[in-house]
Amino acid sequence: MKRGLAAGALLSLACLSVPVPTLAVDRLDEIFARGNEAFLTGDYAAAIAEYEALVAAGVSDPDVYFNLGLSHARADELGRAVLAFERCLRHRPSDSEARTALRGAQTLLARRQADRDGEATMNTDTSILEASYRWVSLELLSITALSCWNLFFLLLLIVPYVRRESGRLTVSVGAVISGLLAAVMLLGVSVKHDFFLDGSPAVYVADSAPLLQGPDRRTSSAGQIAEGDRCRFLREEGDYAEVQSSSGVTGWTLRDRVEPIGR
Amino acid sequence: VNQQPSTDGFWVQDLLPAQRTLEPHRQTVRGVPYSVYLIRRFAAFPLRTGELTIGGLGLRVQTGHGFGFVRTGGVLERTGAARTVSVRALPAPAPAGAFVGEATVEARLDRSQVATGDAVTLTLGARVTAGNVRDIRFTLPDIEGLRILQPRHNDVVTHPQDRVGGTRTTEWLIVPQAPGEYDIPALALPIFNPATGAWSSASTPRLRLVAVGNAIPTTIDPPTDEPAEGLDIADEESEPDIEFGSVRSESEFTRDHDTLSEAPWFGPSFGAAPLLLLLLFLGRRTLARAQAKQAENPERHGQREARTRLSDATRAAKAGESRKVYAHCSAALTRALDSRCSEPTGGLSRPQLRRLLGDEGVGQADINALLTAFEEWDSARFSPGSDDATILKGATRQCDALLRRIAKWDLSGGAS
Repeated sequence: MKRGLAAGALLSLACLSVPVPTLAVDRLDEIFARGNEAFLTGDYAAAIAEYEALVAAGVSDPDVYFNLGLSHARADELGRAVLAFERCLRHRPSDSEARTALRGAQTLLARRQADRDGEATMNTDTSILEASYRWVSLELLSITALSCWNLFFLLLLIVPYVRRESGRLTVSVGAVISGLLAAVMLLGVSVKHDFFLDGSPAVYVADSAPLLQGPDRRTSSAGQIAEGDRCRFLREEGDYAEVQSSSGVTGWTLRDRVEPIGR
Repeated sequence: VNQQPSTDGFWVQDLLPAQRTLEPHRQTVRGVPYSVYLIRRFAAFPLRTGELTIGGLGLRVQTGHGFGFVRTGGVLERTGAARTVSVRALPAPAPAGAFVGEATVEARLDRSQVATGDAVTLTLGARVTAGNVRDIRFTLPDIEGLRILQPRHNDVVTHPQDRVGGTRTTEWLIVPQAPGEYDIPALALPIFNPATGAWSSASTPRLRLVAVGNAIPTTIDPPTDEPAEGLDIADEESEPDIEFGSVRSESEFTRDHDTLSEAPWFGPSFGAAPLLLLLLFLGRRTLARAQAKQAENPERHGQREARTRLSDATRAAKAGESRKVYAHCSAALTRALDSRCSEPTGGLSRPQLRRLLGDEGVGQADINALLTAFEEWDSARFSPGSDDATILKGATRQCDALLRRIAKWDLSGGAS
């Protein structure tokens, strides 16, 4: 019996030590390379299809989103390009190239709107709080918040045991600083999770259209929403989704015209 | 300084900062004290063989005291002695483009995959720990299908502890003209190390560049009204200055996963530290309260301890452990007496205990009963027939009765 158990354990260990099959990785690599090749030859539709296949396979990589955004931009689908660049930046806020590309797509959209309507407003950003935490990733904020929070309580715990006055002062100052840092970081985590806002961030990816007052095409217009507009996805009902545009107008539009940035 | 030293035939690197304060140090030469100033220090790299001369430094010094019309003294002019350096040729075999000193080299392409007509940058970095970085020159061979533009150099010269070195970065823009895979060959730098007198070589790795797309025509087509197919959005007439960047050739293929803040334990983990602190605080407070209570009423605490001992004795009686029964009973009575008399009684002899209890106002009957019980239990612990269950049970009952009796003593008027 013992021998059997030992053999089983060895077999399990052997199974664990077998390298993870590289087939899946190779395939992802191949799809990505095909996408790049299609992009470089100017076949943007094929490139988009390849990158979308990666996304559909569960890949949520900023570089894939960047290439996808680039392909949409070259294919003149600027709303979807904005969405892909936003997704890229959600995963890697410090990606300055993606930020430049996003700004480029938004500028192009605004120019077109200005050419068409005579004027255009670029609603690119967001609250002061969001702008403050723009360059810091959620992961970094979370780790720092948790570390500072625990450090704060650890320092509070040891303050009574420090005998020297100067030492106690140092630990107290450290506790105050770590407490403040924890508060700032927690605020950042809350902002990144849209704690203070209704709905989730989304991008309107279709041509400019009116927002309806109800989930029915016969209802009257509540306002206008433009392609590439960053909006809030509030809820969906049937084929319609209720959104709040960056200018603050709340209304309904077809569900497939709005894509949440977070997946 | 009215004459800088001549350095014809040398490449010169100054080793002193351009902006600095002249600070003298004292030096006595043949009994005469002088203030010595360091005017210039440089490294000179000979550029040709033969006898090369470093000229002397010329100085013009105003001597004397005062200023303006009341100035005394005169002007002193001095020129330093020239130095001749004999420069030898590099030992054979001296290949062309050889470098003298110590250096390492590396090369990289900013992208490994590119569209035809797009430029990639080949960067070649040389890190020199000793020697003249400007002496490093690489020539990229012509590669069919690639258009290689003129290189751009960026030099950083350092001289830590007067040892001149630095880095030289050379960048080439390479534009593939036709699709295909291109090999950029390894580039070698022959190095002669004067410290060891030996030749060596540093070389870059071979690099591979993949170009896809259509071949670029070698002649320039005349401009047409129709825009070329596949033109960048950035090139369109109406939107000339929008740049989106280049496609990325590498990805880590990270997948969707819960971020740290989305993990189920993340929120509760913020409660753990304050909860721990609260528990510690409450624990300390409870402990302090218990200690205070105990200090306030030692008599009740002593009675409780005596009862605990009696419980131990009862358990021992059930287990038939006679010695433990009698020991626990004696200890229970002693603890009860300690608490009532507010002093330890365990070390007192029987007469001393009798006297103490008498002084406290305890009745003679109780004193006798107590002392009798102590004596009986002492002797029973070592007598052979005392482990009978009935006897042991009787001892615990007797102990219980005595404890009740002790608790009822009114010692307030009896103390003398």
